[in-house]
Amino acid sequence: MSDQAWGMTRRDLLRGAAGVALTGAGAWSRGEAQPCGSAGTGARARVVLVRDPRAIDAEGHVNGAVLGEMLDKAVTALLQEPDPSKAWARLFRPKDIVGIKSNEWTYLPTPPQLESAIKARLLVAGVPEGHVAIGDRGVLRNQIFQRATALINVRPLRTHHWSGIGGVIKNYIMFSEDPSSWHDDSCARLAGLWDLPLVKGKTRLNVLVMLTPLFHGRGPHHFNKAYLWPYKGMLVGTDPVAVDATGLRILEAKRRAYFSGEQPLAVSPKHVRLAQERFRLGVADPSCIDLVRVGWMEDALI
Amino acid sequence: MAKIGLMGLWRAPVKALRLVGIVLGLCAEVSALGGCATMAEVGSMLPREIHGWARQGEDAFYDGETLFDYLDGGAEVYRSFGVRRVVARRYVKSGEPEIIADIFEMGSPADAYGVYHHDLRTEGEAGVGNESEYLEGALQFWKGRFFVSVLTLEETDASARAVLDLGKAIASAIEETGSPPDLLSFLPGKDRLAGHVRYFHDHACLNSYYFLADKDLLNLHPGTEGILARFRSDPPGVGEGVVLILVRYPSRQEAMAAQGRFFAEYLPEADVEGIARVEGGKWVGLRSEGELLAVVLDAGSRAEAKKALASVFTRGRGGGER
Repeated sequence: MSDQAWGMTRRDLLRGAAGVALTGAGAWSRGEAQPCGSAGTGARARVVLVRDPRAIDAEGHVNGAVLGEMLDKAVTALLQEPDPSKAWARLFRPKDIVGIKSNEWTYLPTPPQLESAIKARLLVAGVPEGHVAIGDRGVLRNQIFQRATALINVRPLRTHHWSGIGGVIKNYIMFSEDPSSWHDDSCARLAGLWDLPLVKGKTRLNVLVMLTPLFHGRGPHHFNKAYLWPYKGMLVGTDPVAVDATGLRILEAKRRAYFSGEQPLAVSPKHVRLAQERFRLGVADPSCIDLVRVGWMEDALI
Repeated sequence: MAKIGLMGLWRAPVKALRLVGIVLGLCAEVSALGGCATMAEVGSMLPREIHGWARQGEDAFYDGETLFDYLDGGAEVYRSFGVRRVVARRYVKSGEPEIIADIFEMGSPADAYGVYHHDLRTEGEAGVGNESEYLEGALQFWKGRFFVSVLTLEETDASARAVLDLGKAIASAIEETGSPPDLLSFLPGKDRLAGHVRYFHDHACLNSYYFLADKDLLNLHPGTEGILARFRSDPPGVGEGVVLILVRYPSRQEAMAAQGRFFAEYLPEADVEGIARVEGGKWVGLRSEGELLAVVLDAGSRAEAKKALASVFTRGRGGGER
């Protein structure tokens, strides 16, 4: 770690521009108001929360058609373009080669129905089918990902045994030849993944799947069905830090409700905060994120 | 120590469990020199069947290098505590959810304690091994130098009973008991938040529990051992309470060097008692005596920081609850 350290201390963060508290995005407090963008990021970020009670049924089956509708609503709200096809066409051009970076974690993978819905919209936008690939662990061996001009980043949100949370920032770890090299200091440097040549500057859309987020976990597998909850939503944005920070706030709210009080994550998800403070990848400060709510908002927790 | 083949004992699981326990009891004497349980021996602690759940497929075995294949990034937790061997077995029963049992052989009982306490332990004691927790179909415990996880992917009455009884069977097969880190005896008991005690060796682990700095300001390494505990503020306030970090170094010189570095790089304005008020209005203090170093963070007042530091070293001189 020593050769990768930046010299940042807890005190630096407490006195920093954002005056951030250190337990998570939800606990962020701006001790002294600073203008958005002062950390070197864009001025503000826009994140769309879209939810639909039909997204999954009582047995947990995913409704792919509804997911497609949710995607269209999210993208139109994000780009403020009422026509879904025009909105997708603003994101992707027919000449693009697009990698859909998914997540195949055994217990909570990206739903295949959502992958299909995304792919269908790329095809409608004119991207040739042969120029679209969906992958996770095999992205370094996939020619489409190797030649990609654009990426879509899509994965479920969950708590994580070592990084605090697994969100869209972390989802690019498979673009590294040596994923475990990013684990030091509980994954503090994950935002650095976004500077890898296969990734840098290519991500057009981040989709944090919140259909059944995992809000708690114990032990090596860090999974238990009892800690999945049918939130039936997605967070969509172009800023991965803002998307993860918003998801983290929802997770924290759920944990407070479930445990009847503060229940800190076993490991601080500091990589989200450091993605702004150190890597300037995006905006984590909630007061600099414009959250757009679309659809069903019962028990949205944010 | 020579590796002992026990595969023939699969056919007599109860006897095998008892015998393996004896073998492992002997191993405990040797483990400090490098351990001695083979993969097969660790696996032999798992019964073939429990309440109709039967072993499915072959066991999977891992070491510190290959554990990523099984747990991805979660493997770092176990690597931080010197994991040596892991055996994973799946159990199935028609009409019931799957059960997964994992046995982690760590380098020492203290490290098994450390892995167990990587998670906050806020539930009641489940009565398996030295310390255990059962929650929503997941049992975890530590005993001797072993950390054990038994998990059903869906809790039913039957699977819950099987998980607990499987855990008890594994625990009974581990003859060695082991003790928690003796560093714990330096912690004040009053106002300590139950379940909020963490054990660590290195900077990465400490930082995962409490971000102090991206540099290793306390000069931690595999030969150091530390405890992080949280205490209720006095008077109670907002936040997560007062944080106390204790580190024991191999030598007094190392403790002094760490103290010097911390004051220089984190708390240069510390007063003569090693205490200062920092950003956010909280108080931080540091003190070392001999090989022991204590840091108090997030204290609500100077007096609270001073009292917490004093309580540690009172115990160190034999005046506390040792």
